[in-house]
Amino acid sequence: MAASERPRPPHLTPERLPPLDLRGAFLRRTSLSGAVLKNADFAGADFKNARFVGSDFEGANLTGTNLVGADLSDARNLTTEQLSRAIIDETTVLPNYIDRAVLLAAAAAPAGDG
Amino acid sequence: MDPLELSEFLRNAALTLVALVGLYLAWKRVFAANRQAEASTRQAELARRDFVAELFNRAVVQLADERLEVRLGAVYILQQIAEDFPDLAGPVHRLLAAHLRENTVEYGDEGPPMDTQEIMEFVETWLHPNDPDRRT
Repeated sequence: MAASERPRPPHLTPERLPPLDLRGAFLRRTSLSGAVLKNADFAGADFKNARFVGSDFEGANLTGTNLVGADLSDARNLTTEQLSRAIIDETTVLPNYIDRAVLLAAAAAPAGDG
Repeated sequence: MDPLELSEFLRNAALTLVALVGLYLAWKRVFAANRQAEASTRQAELARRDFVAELFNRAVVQLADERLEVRLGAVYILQQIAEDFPDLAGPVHRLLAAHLRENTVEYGDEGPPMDTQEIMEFVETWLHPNDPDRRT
């Protein structure tokens, strides 16, 4: 169905749908921009070059998630701890409130160092 | 009470009784008609749900089809079911996510196949915060 045909029904909202479970999925170059991804599970998923502009990552599991080249600008509720478990590099666009140096240090620290 | 008054009283009482019986019969008739209408509505709803369950099951099988057009058709049917049946929105959402997890096609650095793209667009729309202008 082409987009913009019908108004979204009121029951199809993030509050009324279960958390998104995309563990291990291969989803390069896709988009979940603006989506509420509370408690989503993206462990081991491949989101290389995906777009998450303005998405809400509260409580999301990003362990082993490939975010190389992904656009996370204006993403909300992301933490250094979440991102340190993901796979990112200098091409990953981070939200302004994430300090890349702190993140890289956290990612490089051995597990258990906090 | 003289005989004339008694006769009038009995006549009025008989008329009242007849009116009450008439009202009761009318009520019974309306009640029965309503029950029949409700039963018909329930029957139609059950038939509709059977049809949707059949569509749902068929779409589950078609999602794993080798042909893109068949998979795409299944995705559109599931989207329609999620929109029209609020109680099936969660199961459809979970099913599409399971399909993305379990039927991973590694398409390299190109764009995703059209069915994957469509599913992600639906999910992106559904998970967008309340926005009356957002369309499906």
